[in-house]
Amino acid sequence: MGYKTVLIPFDFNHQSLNFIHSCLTQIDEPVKIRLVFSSQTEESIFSLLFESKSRRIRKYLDQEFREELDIIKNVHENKIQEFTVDVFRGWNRAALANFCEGNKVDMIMLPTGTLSTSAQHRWLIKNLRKAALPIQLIETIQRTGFIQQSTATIDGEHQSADKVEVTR
Amino acid sequence: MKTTSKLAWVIIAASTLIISLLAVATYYFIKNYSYTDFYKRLETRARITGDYYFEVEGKESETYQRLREKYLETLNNEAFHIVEVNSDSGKSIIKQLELPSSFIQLAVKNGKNRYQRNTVFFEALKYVQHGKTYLVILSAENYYAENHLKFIRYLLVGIIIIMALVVTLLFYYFTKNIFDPITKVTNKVKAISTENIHERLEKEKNSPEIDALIATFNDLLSRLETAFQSQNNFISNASHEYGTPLTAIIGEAEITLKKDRTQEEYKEALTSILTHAERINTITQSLLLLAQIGYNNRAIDLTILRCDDLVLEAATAIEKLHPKARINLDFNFLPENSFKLKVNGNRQLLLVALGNIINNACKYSNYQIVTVSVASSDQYVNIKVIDTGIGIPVEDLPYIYDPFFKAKNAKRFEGYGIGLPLTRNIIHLHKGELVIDSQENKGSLVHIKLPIAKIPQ
Repeated sequence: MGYKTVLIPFDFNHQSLNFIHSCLTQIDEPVKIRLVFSSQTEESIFSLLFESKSRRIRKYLDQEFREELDIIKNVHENKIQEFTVDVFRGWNRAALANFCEGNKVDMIMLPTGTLSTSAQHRWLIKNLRKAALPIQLIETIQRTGFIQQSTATIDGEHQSADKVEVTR
Repeated sequence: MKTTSKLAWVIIAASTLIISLLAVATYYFIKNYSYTDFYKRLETRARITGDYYFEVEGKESETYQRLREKYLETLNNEAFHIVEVNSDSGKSIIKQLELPSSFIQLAVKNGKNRYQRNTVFFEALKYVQHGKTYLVILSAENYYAENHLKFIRYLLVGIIIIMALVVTLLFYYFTKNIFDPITKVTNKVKAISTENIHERLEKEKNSPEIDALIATFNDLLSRLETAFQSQNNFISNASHEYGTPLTAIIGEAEITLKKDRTQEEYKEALTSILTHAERINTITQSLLLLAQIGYNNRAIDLTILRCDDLVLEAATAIEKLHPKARINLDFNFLPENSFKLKVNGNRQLLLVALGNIINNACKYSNYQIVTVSVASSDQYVNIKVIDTGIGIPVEDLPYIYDPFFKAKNAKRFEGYGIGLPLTRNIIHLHKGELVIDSQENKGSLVHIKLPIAKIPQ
C-alpha cells in the first residue's frame, strides 16, 4: 500500500515545532512526512564528497531540537510511516519542483504566515505556495508546556542575555 | 635536569645524528661512484689504445697521440704500457711499474683487471695476437675525484655544524614561545590561594593551546570558589536553621523557669518547645536523607513506573497539602506508545522529587497556575514544570543546589532549602538530568529527564 508523502517546511525554532505538531494533528491517515529546510550555505568540497547527506543534516540539528522532534514524532507515532528531515539547496522554482518530484511529494502543508524571519526560509515558503501540488494551510497555535520557548519568551519578550541555564 | 634541558639535548642529539648519518651515506655513495666512473674512463682509454695497436693497420704513433689529444682529456700522470706477458721486456716493465703478480695473473685469466696503489689507478686489458698474450696497462691519478671528495667532506661537516646550530636556535625560540607561557601559568596558579581565589589568569596572545589551559584553570578556580562559597553558605545557613528553633526552645524554657507556672502554662510552653524540637528533627531527617541519597549511592529498589501516573499522584498530593495550588496538567504530548512513558525508578523517591519541584513552583509563584507537562523523546521521559513566579536571580543560580541555601528573593517564603538538592540527588540516582531555566520576576522552568526503561514491548 502506497502512503502519501507530505512535505512540511520548517526552520530551527520553536515556532516550527509548533507548526509541525499542528500539521500532524490535522492529518488523520498514515503518511510519510518529509520535513524540509532551506540552506544555501556553502559547503567544502571535502564535505560534499566524503560526508553522507544524513550526516550533513545531523550537523544542522542540535540535540535539543532533535529531541523535540522525537517528542512530536512519538505523539503522532501511529500516523507516521516514515519521518525524514531533508535540506533544499536550490535557488529557483524549477529546482524546487524537481525536488518535490524527486521526493514524490503528494501534498504540501504550509503555515498561514512564516515560521522565521530568515530570507532562505521565507523564499522556500513563498515558492512552495506557487508549487503545482495540493496545498493545505495550517494555522500555528502557540502552546505552553512542551513545545514552547523557555521563560524568556513566555510573555513574548526575548531576553537571552539574562537567561541562565543551570545543569548540575 | 629540567624537562626543557632534557628535551633540548634529546632534540639536538637526535637531529645531529640524523644529519650525520645522511652526510656519511651521501659521502660513501659519491666516493664509490667517482671510483667506478674513473675506472670506466681508464678502461675506455685502454681499449682505444689496444684496438689501435693491435687491430689498425699501418700504425702511426703520432696519429694516435694526435687523436688522443684532440678527443680525450688528459688525466693526471696518465701513462700507458703495452706489455707482452712472459717476455723479458714485459717482465721488466711490470717490475718497473711495481705491479703485483696477482694483478697480472687475474688480468690474463679474466681478460681485464683493476688495481689501485695510493692515488694511482691501474686498468689492464688483455689482447692476444699471433699466439702471444699482451696486456695494455693504463694508469693515472684520480685528481678530480680526490679534490671533489675533499670538498664534499668539508661541505658535509659544515652542514652538520650549521644544522646543529640552527636546531639549537629553533629549539631556543620554541622553548621561549611554548615553555615560558606554561611556566608563567604555573607561577600564577601557585600564587593563588584561598585568600585570593577570586583572581583569574589572563589569556595569552596567539596561543590557543595555552588559552585552553588557562580557561581550564579558570574554570577549575571558579568551581573551587563556588565550592568554598557553598561550604561557607552551608555553615551559616545550617547554623541559622538550627539556631532559630534552638534559640526559641532555650528562650521558652528560660522564661517558663523564671517563676512558678500553672499546669496550663507549662503545657503550653512544652508544646511550643516540642514544635521547635520537631522542626529540628525534620531538618536532621532531611539532611540524613540527602546524605544517604547523595553520597552513599546505595542500591535502591527499582520498579517499572509510568511517569504520567507519578506526575498525577505528586500533583494530587500537593493540591491536598495546599488547597490554593492551581496545577495544570498538560498531557497533550504524551506518546502514543505507552512504553515510552515507563522508567525504572523508586516510586517514593521520585514522588518526593516531583512533589518538591511542583511544591516550589506553587509556593514561589504565590499559587498562580503551574503547568506540568509530560512527553517522551526516544531516550528520555521529559517532565517540565513551568511557573510564572519570582524566579531565581542570576547571581544565586550557582548555589541553588546547596543545602540550606535560599535565593535572596525567597527569604520570606517558608522552607529549609533542602528540597532542591534532595531532588537533584534523586534524579541523578535515577541517571536522569535536572535543568533549571529561570529569570528573576519572570518565572522558572524545571526540566526533568529520566531515561526510558528498556523493557521488551
